[in-house]
Amino acid sequence: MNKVIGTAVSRTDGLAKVTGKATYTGEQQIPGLVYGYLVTSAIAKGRIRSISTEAAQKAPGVIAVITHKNAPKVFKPTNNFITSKIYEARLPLSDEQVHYGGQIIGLVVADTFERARDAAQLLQVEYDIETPLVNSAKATYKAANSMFGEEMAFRKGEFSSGTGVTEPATIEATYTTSTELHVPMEPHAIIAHWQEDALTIYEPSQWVAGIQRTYAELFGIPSEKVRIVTPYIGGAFGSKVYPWPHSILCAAVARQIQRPLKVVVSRRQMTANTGHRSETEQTVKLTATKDGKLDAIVHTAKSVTSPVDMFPEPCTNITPVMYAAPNMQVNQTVATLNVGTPTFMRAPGETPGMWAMESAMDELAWKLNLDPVELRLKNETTTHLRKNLPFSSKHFADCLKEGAKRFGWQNRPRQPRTLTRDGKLIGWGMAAATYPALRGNATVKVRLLPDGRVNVLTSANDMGTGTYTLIAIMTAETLGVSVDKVSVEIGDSLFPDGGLAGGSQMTASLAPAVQQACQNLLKSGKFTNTKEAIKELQSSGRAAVEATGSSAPSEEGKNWAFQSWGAHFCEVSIDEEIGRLRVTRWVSVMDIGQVMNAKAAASQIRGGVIMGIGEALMEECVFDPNTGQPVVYDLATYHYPSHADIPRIDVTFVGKPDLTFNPLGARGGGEIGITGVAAAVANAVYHATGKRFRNLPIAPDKLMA
Amino acid sequence: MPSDKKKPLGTSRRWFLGQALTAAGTAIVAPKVLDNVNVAEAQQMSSNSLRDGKTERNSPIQGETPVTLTINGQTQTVRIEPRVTLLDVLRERLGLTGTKKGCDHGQCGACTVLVDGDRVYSCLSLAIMQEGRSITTIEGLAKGEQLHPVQAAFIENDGFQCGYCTPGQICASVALLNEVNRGCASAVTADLTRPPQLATLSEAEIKERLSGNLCRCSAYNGIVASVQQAAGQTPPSPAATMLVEEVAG
Repeated sequence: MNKVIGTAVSRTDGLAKVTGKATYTGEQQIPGLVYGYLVTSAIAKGRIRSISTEAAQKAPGVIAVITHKNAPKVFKPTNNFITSKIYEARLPLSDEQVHYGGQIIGLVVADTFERARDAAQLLQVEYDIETPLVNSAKATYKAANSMFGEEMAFRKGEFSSGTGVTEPATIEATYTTSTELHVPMEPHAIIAHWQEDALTIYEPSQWVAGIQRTYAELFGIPSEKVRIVTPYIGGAFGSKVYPWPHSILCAAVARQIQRPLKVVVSRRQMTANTGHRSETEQTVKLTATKDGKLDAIVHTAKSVTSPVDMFPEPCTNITPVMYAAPNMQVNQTVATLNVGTPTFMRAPGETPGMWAMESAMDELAWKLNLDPVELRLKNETTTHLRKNLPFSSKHFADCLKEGAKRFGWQNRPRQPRTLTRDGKLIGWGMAAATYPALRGNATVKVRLLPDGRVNVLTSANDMGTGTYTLIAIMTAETLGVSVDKVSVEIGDSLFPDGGLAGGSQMTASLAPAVQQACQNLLKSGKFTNTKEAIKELQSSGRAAVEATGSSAPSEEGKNWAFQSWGAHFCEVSIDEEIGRLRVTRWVSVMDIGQVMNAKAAASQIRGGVIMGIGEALMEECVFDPNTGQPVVYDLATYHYPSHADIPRIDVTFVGKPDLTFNPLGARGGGEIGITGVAAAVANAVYHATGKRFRNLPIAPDKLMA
Repeated sequence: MPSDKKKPLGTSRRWFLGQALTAAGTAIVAPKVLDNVNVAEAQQMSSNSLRDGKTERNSPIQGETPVTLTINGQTQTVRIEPRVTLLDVLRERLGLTGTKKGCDHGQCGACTVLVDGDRVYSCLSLAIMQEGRSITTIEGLAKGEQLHPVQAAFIENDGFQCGYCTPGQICASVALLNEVNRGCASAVTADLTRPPQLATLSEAEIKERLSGNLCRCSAYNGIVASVQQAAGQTPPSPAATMLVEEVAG
């Protein structure tokens, strides 16, 4: 067997992407296509008293003007995450109520994009305005259940702190994060094309089979009548799993006008209508012995949701995972604001959760005069303290030690404000990273041709994660062919259900399914190897031999907890006079089990780290307290890292397969990279300046204050 | 059609304003006449490889005017309203969807194309102002099967993930290398009298010169490495270090 897994393979979709031939949603060439432009609310709370569409209807090229008064009917889907799911439980244009600024209140359809956009400005809307609530400090919080309805609060131990712990050291602090936007480079877009009673949807989707069922329920047609096509996704980060209101509206109006209809959400409209990560406020209390053994962890978290759906940011998922403590208590609450619906954004919960936990651990290390690496090693847990299950494979200590070595951590001065370079303060910080390992059902079809080429088909998708290449690697490995012989077609509901790209699970779900399909292919003809199969094809004149293979988790989750681990080390340089902070050095070491592609996996971790640097230093969506409208709404106002903000990110993987988890031992790396990053930066800032920053982002104004 | 295509910018701008006024004035006074004229022009144009986009319209649109563009060496005439951007002509009328719309406001760089060799945000450029210029999009960089060295370097150095900002990053990188060859300085060039050469182009210079192109997947390390490779330098490996290398059965 030739060794392909774990090597550095260039992306097989690379040629299409560098030549402009990769076709994203808005780019499908469909004859007769017309254009929809969304109309959005100018108020953040109230009702539409009247809406005048006459001028828009008379505008050149206009085909339809849709508001709540003439909105086409759609059915409420089951909306249970399993059979179907929409991001926002309220269906678009279902009444005259306005729940948040920028909510969709209409759609104008015209023969060109320019004419639709122009006519959309001609609607005259009168509102009954109510005072919106966008300030979380004034909100009323109530106990939160997870999005699946499970209780989030958790308590263990007697909290008899003091018995056995003499002179305990305690840290208690509150940490906040701002509203963060996914802002994928490809704006949300959809083309809906009805041909008689069959619907084809071109839409970026992280869950092809799921939204196929969802659209079927929305329009009361069988799933077989819905086709989802999403060969390329221009970034998603959690915001392109289910249909958003604009998607539902586009498909409904396309049916009404009997024309293929394209709706692209403008960058500004995306702010309210395509999700975000809620702001959070967390309090962490750590109690430890003098030599740094944790005795109690208390972690409470608040987040906010929209009036039309419930999504609590699950910050406390990490608490029973990270560190051993005999006493533990977590609590989560959520409040409703007049803002758009929040949703999953890269490591939902873990990202803000690890910001708070890893900042608090750093504060404790300073208080105890312990090395923060040592403090973490001292409190490592081999079991998941809520599930009471052992971790299947854990090399967290290797991540800490290897990272420290690569960074040169042993040379770190133990006092803040001691390192300087070129008149600037230098600081070193570190933090841990973690993300659970998930795995779902996936099915793949493999077809071997007489000329030795292999086609692989599955509805799974690639939003930049490297799925095309992963499938090619896995096929090449199992069939013993070279990667360039494998052609992969994905992102189409006509292909077998390849599962969900979310929760970092695509690789873990899909790789075993590809392996299984390839093995089934050889078994089907009793071939000992691929060469024999090709020979048989050539001599028999058969067009191809094909097989499907599936993979699904079994009972292993009853006995084991599956989790990935990592450590970040970084250096910052700070010019206090002008509040300028530069991240100058970064080392990450990750334990994500077997790495499938050393190149793509490294890029995923780098991408996560950089999004985390954005969260730490600049990403912040702000709402006007009076109007309730977002005043940060595009790529000029919502700052995220550019080339000049980012140093080289040194990535190392432990690489030990977690074979209890799946047959390849691969756990996936899409999300773990971002966790802990903001804390590592803030901890470095403390080392540089002696100032503890507990509110993100650490923007220049805060550094100068 | 203007016959003074090759004249300097001032002429084009004056022509554009005049043309816009004429169109508006005519539309108010006698829209029907304009329609008839447009039909005649469209018929005349169709023999000249007119591609009026994928939308099959039965009647021409008021205020549209024929615009002749040279894109990737091919001359094409489209009928567009003066407000149509170069980006929307490429994507919505000519099927050249390699150029991406990321923000439509000149904030992200995904729509970067080359106009007479210079990098331009096509979302901020009216198509009607590009007559007589040579436009190169991502589709026109390779010579047949032979990729441009920057394109090949992007694949090798993993200079992308989702690929949506990639055409813009590549066009910007191609222009960047030309700018260095021409001796252009950047905001981080220490000595303006001695701008960097390709061989001495630092990472800081590359990052500064590419910061008009955002990448949310943040393949920034790979993109910088790609430019280094295309500049003739040896970039660091894009792959991660592995502590253990085991292959599961």
